[in-house]
Amino acid sequence: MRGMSMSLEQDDIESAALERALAETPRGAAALAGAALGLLLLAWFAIYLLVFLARGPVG
Amino acid sequence: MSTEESTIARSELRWTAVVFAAIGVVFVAIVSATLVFHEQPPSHRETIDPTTMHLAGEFAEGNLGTSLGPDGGVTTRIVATQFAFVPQCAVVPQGKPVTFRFASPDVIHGILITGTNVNTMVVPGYVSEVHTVFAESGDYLMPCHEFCGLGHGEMMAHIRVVPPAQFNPDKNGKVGCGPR
Amino acid sequence: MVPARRLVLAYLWTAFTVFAAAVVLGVWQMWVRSPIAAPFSTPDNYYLSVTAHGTAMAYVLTTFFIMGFGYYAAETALDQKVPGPRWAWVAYALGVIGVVMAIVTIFAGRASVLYTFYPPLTASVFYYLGLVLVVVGSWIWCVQMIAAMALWKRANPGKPVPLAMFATVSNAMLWLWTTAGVAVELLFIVIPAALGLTETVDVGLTRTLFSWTLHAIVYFWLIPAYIAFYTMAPRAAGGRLYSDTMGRLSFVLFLVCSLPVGMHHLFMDPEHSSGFKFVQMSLTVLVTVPTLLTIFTIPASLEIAGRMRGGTGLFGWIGALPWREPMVLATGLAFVMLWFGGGGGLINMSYAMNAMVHNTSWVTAHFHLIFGGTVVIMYFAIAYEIWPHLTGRAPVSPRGQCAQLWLWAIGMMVMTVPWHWLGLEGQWRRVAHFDYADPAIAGWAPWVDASVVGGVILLVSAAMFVANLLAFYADATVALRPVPPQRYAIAAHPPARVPAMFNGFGMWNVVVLVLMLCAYGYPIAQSFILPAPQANVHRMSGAS
Repeated sequence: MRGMSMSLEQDDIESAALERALAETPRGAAALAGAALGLLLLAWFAIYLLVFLARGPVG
Repeated sequence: MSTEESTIARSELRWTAVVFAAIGVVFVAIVSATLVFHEQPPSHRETIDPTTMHLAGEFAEGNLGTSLGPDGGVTTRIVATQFAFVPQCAVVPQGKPVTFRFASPDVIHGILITGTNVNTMVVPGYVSEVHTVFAESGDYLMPCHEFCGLGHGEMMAHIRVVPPAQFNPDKNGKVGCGPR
Repeated sequence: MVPARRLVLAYLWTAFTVFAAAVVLGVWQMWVRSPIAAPFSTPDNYYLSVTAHGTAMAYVLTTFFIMGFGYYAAETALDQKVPGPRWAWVAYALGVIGVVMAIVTIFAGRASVLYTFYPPLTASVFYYLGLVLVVVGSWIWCVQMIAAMALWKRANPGKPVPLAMFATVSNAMLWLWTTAGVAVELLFIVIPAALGLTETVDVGLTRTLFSWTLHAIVYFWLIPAYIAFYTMAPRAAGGRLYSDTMGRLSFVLFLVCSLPVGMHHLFMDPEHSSGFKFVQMSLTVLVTVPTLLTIFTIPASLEIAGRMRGGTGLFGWIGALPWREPMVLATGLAFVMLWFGGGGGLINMSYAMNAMVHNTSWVTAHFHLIFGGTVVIMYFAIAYEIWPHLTGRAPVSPRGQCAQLWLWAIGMMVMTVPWHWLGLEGQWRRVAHFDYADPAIAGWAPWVDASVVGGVILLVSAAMFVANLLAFYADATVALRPVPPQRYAIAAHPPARVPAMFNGFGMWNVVVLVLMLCAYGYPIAQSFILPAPQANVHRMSGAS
């Protein structure tokens, strides 16, 4: 089994193709994650204002 | 580090900054709710002996339900026990500060009042105190919301919020639901 | 083939068999709670079922899966045999004996206390002893995982521990820390009460000790899913992991930030001050960070793959991904459920806002979606990924696996979205029957019916999952000769070295100790400094 350990750290990805992909990354991920996080905050604030605060004080 | 590797690191750092900004906004909103809008989790740490509380003192049966204190404050005392609330109905005035005090002589219970932020656990050994103001009059459900045994599903009380003109304590300052 | 394959298969088959039975119970429970008349519908049966379902899903499915997957990762990521393999079988035996003991006690009606225990309600001692055996077995696993990593580091000085194993050991550390709370609660308070050695318990203290365990345990469940996100999904998509360092950072943050936050389960409790509740809320805000980092790093990793497959523009890479790969599909579905489940969690942790949802169906919805959805769908995907390496066989087509994963996600959303709404409406928890004739409650009926439909979809999906695993043993499968080794994702820029703090846990354990002292020190000590009156033990076991 030890002899196979080198091959576990390799894949058959061609480095030029990887470089091309990396040049554009992470624009798409930033847009996707940013949109998701932004929508999450909007939803949180909607519930905070329209449900939680609207239901009155408690303590 | 190749150029590409530091580019990756920079993008991750930028995203991390975005993350901290986002959770910072949430944190500030939470603190504002506490300081500006008077929203706190009920955290009144007062102890009581569950094994003797029914005998005498604040949670003896004659003391339970809503009463108007000498200072004009409205306090509703309810015992949560397997498997009923005592009393099962309480009247409180609309638009005025109300203090609920709960205790349990046996196991863990909990309450919420539907449509409001009133929510607390009732832990034997402690008095739970919740302050609120009911903006709307009406009949509210107050179920037991924590598993307290096989009869948990039957545990339900009603909170009747009445306009101040209909909130009439008797000479002892007590108000009951009366016939429904 | 993987040397420990019989061990891994034993753990995983046990986990999934118990899981399948628990799904059946869960659907029956939903039927009972709905307006539609259900058979055997009594409170006794209901609470027996809820205890069984919760115990199976929260303690058995999880612990057995995580241990099995951990042994698998230890062998395949490190390319080294599990140290002390006989101990792994001892742990398995302890676990199985414990599960049988607990389940028999539950079905005898002597342990209807729910998986969260709720002292002073006290079950038969055999229920608790059964769980203790499972936990002791899991501690053996923890030692083996830590030993495996230590042995590998000694044989490979200066090299970064492969991420899949680094994460597995972070989980083992987390588990050792978090089980301390429930272990102390059971060994010193609950079991003596169950044995009749004490007649009263300090309820505030038991709730506080349980809360110590209650949050980090869900991260124990979650970390294997994140191991799949970081070390399997990028490769399955045909790409690279965007950043190995961010992976290590996320697992370290889970270890450090998921422990000192359990008090957010006690926001509505009277035994703690708002001061400590606020401190633990602030720390809970921090535990969102590793997840929020992950929602960038994993899409970035998939973006590499999508762009290499020809996707262009801002979002074209998404469509270009190989969605017919079960691991890729599961990751996408998991992230969708993570938005809803994680968002719900953000509301739960928001201090006073918790009052809006505590002990309502919102909470039930939240943990079914985030755990049953996001995490368990990745358990399925991991099983599909590693089964060929364990059995030497592969299915002819992944279509059955993808269909099962779609149904799981759809069923989970259909089941939990109505529950979220019902929670905001005030529907409370742990109740077998609602009076749908009451006008205040009647409006809930259609939502409850909708969630039952979701439950039935989940039942079908669970059956398909078992069928998909059994299909590996059918003649129609393809024999793999030789059996290829398990391959994990490679980073876009694999590091030659990593800092010690991302290759070991010495420093982080100190940080955890300090944080736990600050967050839990006084809240626990107060039970000894200013003890509250104790409550009488209330025996549910039928015997006095």
